[in-house]
Amino acid sequence: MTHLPAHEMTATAAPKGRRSGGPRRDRSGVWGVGFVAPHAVGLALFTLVPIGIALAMSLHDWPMIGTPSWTGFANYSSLFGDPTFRTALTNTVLFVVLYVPLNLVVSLGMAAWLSPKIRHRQIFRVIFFLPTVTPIVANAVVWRMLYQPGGAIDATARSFFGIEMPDFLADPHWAMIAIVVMSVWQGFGYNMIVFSSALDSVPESQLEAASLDGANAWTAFWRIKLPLISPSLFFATTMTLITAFQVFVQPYIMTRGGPGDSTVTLVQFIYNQGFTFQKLGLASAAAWILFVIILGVTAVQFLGQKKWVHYE
Amino acid sequence: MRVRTAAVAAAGVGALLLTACSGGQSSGSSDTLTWSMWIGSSDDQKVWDGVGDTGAEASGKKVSLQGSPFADYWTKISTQLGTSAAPCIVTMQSLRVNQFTDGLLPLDDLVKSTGFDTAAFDKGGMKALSVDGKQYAIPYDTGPLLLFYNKDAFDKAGVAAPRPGWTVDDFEAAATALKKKGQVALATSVEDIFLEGTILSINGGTMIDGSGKVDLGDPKTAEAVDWIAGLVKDGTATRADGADASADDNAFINGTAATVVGGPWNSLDFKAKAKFEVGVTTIPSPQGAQKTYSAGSGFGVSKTCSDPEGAFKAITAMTSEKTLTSLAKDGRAFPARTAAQSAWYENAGIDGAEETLKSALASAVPLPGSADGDKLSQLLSQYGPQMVNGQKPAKDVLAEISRHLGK
Repeated sequence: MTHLPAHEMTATAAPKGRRSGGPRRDRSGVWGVGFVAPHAVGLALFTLVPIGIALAMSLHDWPMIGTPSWTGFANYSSLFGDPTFRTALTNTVLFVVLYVPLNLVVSLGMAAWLSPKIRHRQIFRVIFFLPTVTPIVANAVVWRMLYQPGGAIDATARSFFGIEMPDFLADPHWAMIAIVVMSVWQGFGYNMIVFSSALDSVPESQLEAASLDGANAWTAFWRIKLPLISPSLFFATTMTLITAFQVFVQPYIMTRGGPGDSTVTLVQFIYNQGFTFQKLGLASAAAWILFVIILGVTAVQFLGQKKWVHYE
Repeated sequence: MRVRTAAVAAAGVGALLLTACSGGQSSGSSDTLTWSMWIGSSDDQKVWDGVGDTGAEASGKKVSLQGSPFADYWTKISTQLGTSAAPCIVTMQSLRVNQFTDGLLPLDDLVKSTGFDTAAFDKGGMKALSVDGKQYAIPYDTGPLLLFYNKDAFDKAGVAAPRPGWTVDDFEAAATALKKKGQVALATSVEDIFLEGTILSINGGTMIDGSGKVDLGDPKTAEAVDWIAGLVKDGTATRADGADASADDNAFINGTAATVVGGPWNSLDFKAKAKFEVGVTTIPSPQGAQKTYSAGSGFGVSKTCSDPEGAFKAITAMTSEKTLTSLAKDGRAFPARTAAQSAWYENAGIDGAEETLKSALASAVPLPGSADGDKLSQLLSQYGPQMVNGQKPAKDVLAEISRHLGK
């Protein structure tokens, strides 16, 4: 058996490949394009083109009916000078700050509790996942009824504790909190499933080794499980942040942005400007600002992941 | 060969997506007139399909009905008007017509050339669908705002059935008597039409002036809202819910509140759903100063319609005496055509409906529309509950709404 030097091996293999394997490789590339085409065309038509159109619209005074006229960055400057837009931005940030950590804590807590040791864990998983798969509009309508004076929450508090509950959705101090609570109930199931499956895949051997080294359950959770599921945590945090910035249905159904403007979010502001006030240019500008905010926050997360996400 | 198949497949998929994207509805193809209408149920669909058939027969074209729920209708129509996707026949509500004049065809020339008899319609109903002297739609229904009441609850509280022309003082006395029996008197609303209607009747306050400009500075408007807030505070009126436009109707139907402001178009629904005898009267006004708004809806033609003559022929049939009489018999709408009104009275099934409607019509003024109507409606749903429920003085909230509108 003779050994050829590496460079000679490459030199002999390459022309052979060009002769017989080349056309096959080219053909697979075309097939690849064929398979990617539907998705690429879809992405271009339904995502990239609308994003481009929205950018163009944001630079115009674009009424719903009538002729658009070029205004440059006037829409952007009028947004930054608009107290309603600033309120919508503040409300959205408040929602994100309250909702995202709460969602992650609740979903991680439930996932940790639903360990394989729990009897009927599959049933619990289904029950906790149910709100995520039921239509959010229906959930919001039901929660609106729960929150009303004389509704289930108020009636229970009265009959058991003799306390009258505040009118949650009509009180500017409570309305956002009420929406956050409902949203956590609605949304934690998805992250719970992600965390639960990630926790299930933590190798038993590592936990056993830790327990032999004297680690208690708490230490094992913090030092072993959490770092091992950090990719899932990163995924969940990123996705939850993105959807939290886009919150619309819950305030729209439960309060219409009220009382006053205490629960108007950025997407509702965009909706109002576009479809109620018929200012499509201004709505597009606000949508672009939201897009940039989400892009920025996501980019920061991707940069930050190097410090805390451990990929095996 | 396989390469070519793949390329063809890719091009095919792309072309398919492109076609799907451009396949919008055209306004008036050669043999079809599209007609957009708000539709709330399959019953509605059936009735309006029947009306569409009369239009099809008259125009010799197929009338294709596009329905959406009332609240979504305005969002949809505002995105369609002015584009090739606009329907040919557009259903319009009197208080919103001002917002859509850019997309609607003035019908005056068609009225003239076809000899359409506008005198056969209720004058107020006709005027309500015109802007700056131009007629934008032909009304099929009209109606003054009224006060529906729960006759059983009034009897139980020993309050005589209110007669048309009853006063604010009469109402307050009735509310006190009802309260003694644990019965809330009024179901409040922050929906533009009903709130504006209540305010006008209570003390003559207005939110939109005659020229279609929103003006919330009238001190009488704030006074009237504070009066309603006083009722809420007293427990003689329900709290307004800005997020639920049907909260007032539901409170009336389920017996929580004994009265509610509505239009003749509500009567069929109330009568069908309420488990008590429904009565109707005028909204309380100061002595000798009875006043109410009237509002109505009709059919117009979009500017982009390729066959406005055909569309107008269809509309003529859709608002004919025969069609409107049939709608009146269904209790669907109080006909804008005066000759068809008696059919509505006969079928209303509510005692005193004719006397009340005639009294209300005599004192009715068209509810003015405004180009800012939808904005006002949105802001009322957001801010209105704070003033109607007495959380903030009406004057302050109205100023806040004006600030938002002023931008």
